[in-house]
Amino acid sequence: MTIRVIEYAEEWSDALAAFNARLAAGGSKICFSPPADRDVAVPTFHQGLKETRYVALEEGSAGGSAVRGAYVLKSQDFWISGDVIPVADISLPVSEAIVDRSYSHVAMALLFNAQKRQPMLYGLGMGGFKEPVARLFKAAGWQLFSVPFYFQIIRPFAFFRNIAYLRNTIVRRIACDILAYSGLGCLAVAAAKFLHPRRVPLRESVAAEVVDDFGPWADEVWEEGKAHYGLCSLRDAATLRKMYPPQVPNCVRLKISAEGRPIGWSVLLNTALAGHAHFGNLRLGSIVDCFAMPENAAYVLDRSREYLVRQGVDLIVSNQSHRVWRKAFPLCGFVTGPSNFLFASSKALTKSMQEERIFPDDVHVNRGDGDGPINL
Amino acid sequence: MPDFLTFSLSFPGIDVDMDRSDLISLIIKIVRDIHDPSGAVRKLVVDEKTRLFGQDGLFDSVGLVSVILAVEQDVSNVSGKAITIADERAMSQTRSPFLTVGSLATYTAELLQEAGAQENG
Repeated sequence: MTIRVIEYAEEWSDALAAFNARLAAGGSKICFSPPADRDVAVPTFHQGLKETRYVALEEGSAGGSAVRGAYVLKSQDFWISGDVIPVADISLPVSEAIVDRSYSHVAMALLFNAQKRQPMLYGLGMGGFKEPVARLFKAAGWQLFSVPFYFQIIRPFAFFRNIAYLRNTIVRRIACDILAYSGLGCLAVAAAKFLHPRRVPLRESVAAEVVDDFGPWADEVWEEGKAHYGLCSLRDAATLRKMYPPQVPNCVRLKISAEGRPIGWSVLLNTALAGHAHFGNLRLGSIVDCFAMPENAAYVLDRSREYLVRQGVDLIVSNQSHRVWRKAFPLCGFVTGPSNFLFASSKALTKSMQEERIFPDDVHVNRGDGDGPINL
Repeated sequence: MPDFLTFSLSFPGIDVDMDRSDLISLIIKIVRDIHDPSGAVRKLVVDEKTRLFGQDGLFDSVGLVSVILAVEQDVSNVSGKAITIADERAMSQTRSPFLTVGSLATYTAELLQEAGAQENG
C-alpha cells in the first residue's frame, strides 16, 4: 500500500473521522480535528497565524483511500540573530502506529514530508522526553531541550488542597491535607518566600495598564529589545495581534511603562480550573508570554505577578527559556519546578542556530508559542 | 562486509562501492545496534528476511526512523554518496522498501546506483 502525504481538504473529512474512530477504538485519546470554520468558530489564540493540516493517505486500501496519519504546520516569522526567516511549528504528528504497528512507517513519512515542506521546523510541549513525539524528533536528529518551569504559590491552603500533580497517591493526598489544614503548608510557603524573597528594585514610576490590543507601543518595545534575543518568533504588534486576537476572552494584555514610556508587556491568563490533570481545581494565573529589554524584565514580571495576585489566583506558573527571563523569575520570588515542556528544533534550524552561536538560553519561547496557551 | 573492513573504510574521503550484500551486512549491524544497544540480547537473529516494522516487525515508529537515518549516515560515510532513503518515492511504492532488511538493502542499492550514475553522467 502506498502512502501519500497531502494537504487536508474537505473531501477527506469522512476518512479523517474514520481515522480518529480507529485511534479511539485502540485506546488513544488523541484526536486530529479538521480545521475550524473561521466564520462560526469561537475566537482562539493564534487565530491569525497560517495553519495548514496534512494527512497521510494510504491508497489502495479497502474502500478507497484511508487516512493513516496527520500533522499540522503553523507558519511564523522568526527572529534569528538579526534576520527574519520563515519557520514552522509542527504539531500533532500522529500516525495509526499508536494503535497498529503495521503503520510504523507512517510517522517517518509525516516527518520527512514536513521537513521537505519547511526544513526550518520546531516543536514545543510534547509532554516530556519519553513521549513518542519527543523520541521521534530525537531519532530524526533534532535538538531538544526542556523549557524551565517557574511557579509561585499565592494561596497555600488552596494549593495543597487542589494540586493534583502532588496529590497522586493516598499518602501524598493525606500529607497535602495535613499541610493545608494544620497551617504547616502556609508556614512552609512563608519560609520559602523568606529564603527566596522578591528582589526587584523599587521603581515607583513603573506602571501596569490592561490594554485591549497591541498598538504601535508594542513595536517600540520589540524594536528596542529584539537585539537581545537570539531566536524567537516575531513579537511586533502585528504578530501579537495574530497570536492574541483582541476577541479572545479571558486574555489579559498588560502594558508596562516607566516614566510614561512603554518598557515591556505580558500576556496573562486567570483561569478557574476544574479537574485539571496537574492543577486540579486551582485558580491558576499564567504568565503566558512577555517581552522587554533585559533590564526591564523583572519589572514586567513583578507587575504581572501583582496583577494576578490582585485577581485572586492561587498559583502563578510560567515556562520561559531565555536567560533574561530565567534571571528575572527568581528575582520576583518564583521557584523552579520539573518541566515536561520541551523545545525541539529540526536539523536545519539547529544548524542555523549553531552557525549563529545560539544556545538554548538565547531562545525565547514560552507558553505563547507552539500551540499557544492551551491547558492553562 | 566484515566489521574490520567497514571500520577501516569509514574514514572520510575514502569512498567504497557498496553492493547489496555489503548493504545487508551494514543494515544488520545497524538493526542490532539500535534494537539492542547494550548487546544483551545475543540470540536476536537478524537476516535478510527480518521484518523491520509491522505486526511482527522489530521496530516501532521511533526505531524505524533511527534505522533509516543510521543507514543514510553510514552509507554516506562508507560510499561517499549522500542519499535520501525516506522520500516520497519510497512511500509511493506498493510494497514498502522499509519492510525487511532485504528490501531496504535493495532500495538503498538502487539509490546508490542512481547517485553513482548522476556523478558519472
